Amino acid sequence: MRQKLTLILGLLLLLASCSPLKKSQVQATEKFALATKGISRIPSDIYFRIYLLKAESQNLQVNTILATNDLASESIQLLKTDYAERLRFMQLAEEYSTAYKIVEEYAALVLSLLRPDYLDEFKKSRILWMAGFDKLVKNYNAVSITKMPSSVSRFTTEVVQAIGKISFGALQKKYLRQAIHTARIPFENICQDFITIDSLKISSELKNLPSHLDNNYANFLENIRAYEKQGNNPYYYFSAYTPIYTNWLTQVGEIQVLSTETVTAFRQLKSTFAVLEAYIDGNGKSSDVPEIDLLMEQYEVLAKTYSTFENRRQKLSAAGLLK
Amino acid sequence: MRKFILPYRNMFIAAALGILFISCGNDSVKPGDDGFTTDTTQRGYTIMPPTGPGTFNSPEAGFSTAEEEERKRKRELLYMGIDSTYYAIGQIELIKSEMSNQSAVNLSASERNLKSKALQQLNLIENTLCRQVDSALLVNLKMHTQQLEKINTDINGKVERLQKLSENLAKAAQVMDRITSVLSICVGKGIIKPATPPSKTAAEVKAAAI
Repeated sequence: MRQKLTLILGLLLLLASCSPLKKSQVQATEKFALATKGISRIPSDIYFRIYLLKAESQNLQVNTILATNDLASESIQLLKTDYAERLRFMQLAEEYSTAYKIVEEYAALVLSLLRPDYLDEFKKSRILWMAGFDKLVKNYNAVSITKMPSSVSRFTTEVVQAIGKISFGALQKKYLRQAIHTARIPFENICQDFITIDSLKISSELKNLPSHLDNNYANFLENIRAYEKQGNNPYYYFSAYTPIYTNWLTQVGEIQVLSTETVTAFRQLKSTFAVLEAYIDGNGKSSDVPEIDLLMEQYEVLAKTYSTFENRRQKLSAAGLLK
Repeated sequence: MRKFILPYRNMFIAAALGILFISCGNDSVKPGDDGFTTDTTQRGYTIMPPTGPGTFNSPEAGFSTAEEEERKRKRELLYMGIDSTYYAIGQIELIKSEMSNQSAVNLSASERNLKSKALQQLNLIENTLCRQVDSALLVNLKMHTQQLEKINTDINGKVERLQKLSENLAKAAQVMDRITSVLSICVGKGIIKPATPPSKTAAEVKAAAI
């Protein structure tokens, strides 16, 4: 009797996993996917900000060599080296962003299973999406200690192929739960990597960044001073370059705030995933899931932070103090 | 309960079998190329809270002990690589700060040029250090260190006023020696697979890195 009951309960659970999601479950998943999509863009932004700052300050430092070089050919070579370094910085930021782009793209796929308007939007670029996603996974697996399970690519291929062939309702019923289950392990690994490895790299970069910028700017100032000693008025140099230095200081401050808030957001993302998975596997009767609301709050904090940055920048720029 | 279930037994069994066959289009139970199971019904971790790496219900669960140990070892090497790299970058920054604190007011254009070139070379070394650890990085580090030594030779041959700068560059060369050794160990221990040129075997590349 007990065996039969167990079998029946098991089958009912299995039936539940294939049944369409309730409205509250879809809403919870939508909140989670939107927060995930937004938060996963930030590591890339942080890396690009750091490496663009480095590139800009090094470009200014290279100008001091150009100003004192005797050989034009040597200067040309120097400009080429500087350009190549800038490209490498961009490449590095892209490499470090790969894992988070995978998360962002996957969140877009999950969103397409949540509402017909998301699906319509996704449909327009699904072929390009698939190619881009596969490339991201390939790049990620080439360098990451934790590999992306092949089940992820198989699943995304299946969903993309099904889009346009079956109705939205059938798509959601067939793939939404599976989309959450398939992503669990890689998603948590990527979050963990940000919390431990990327945050270590970013904090180490931030520790050295102010000194890096100052030393490059100091080298530039030395040469302006020499220019002044030759009887020239350096006023226009200062009025043009001081706002650039102010921008660097502003950027360093912004990156510090962003990285702290992003680590908190990734911790929240990681812990909320298990809650969401359990919620969509269960009956989803309760209309609110506190963990998902907390995640949304963290996402809103980040959005507000960006808005504060923008306001400050507008004011400083209007005063001519920032470029 | 028995009274309730028995009349519907056949219906339950029929429904169960039907569900089993159509259950969300799951694949059969088989591990993927990466060792992960592709069967969604095999997930025993659904409601387990995430915990630290290496524990049973961590994201790394599902790997054999040997694989887990290997990943743990690589992760530790990665931390060591990051720590050592940024420590070296910090040391280079200290050297650059010392250089910045030396007044350049009395330096000629050619002396300033040498100082700027030394700074630029130190920047390039820092850039190389913050990239992925591989054998190409080690080759580039060696190349930049040699260029730094060349600038130092030029300084020594020119003027006494750049003596302090020369000392700073000698310090930077020592930092480079140390970090190159640490990163060589990382590459040698397989923290990231070094690129193997077609003309060489993996063992040759590994030996060259150490």
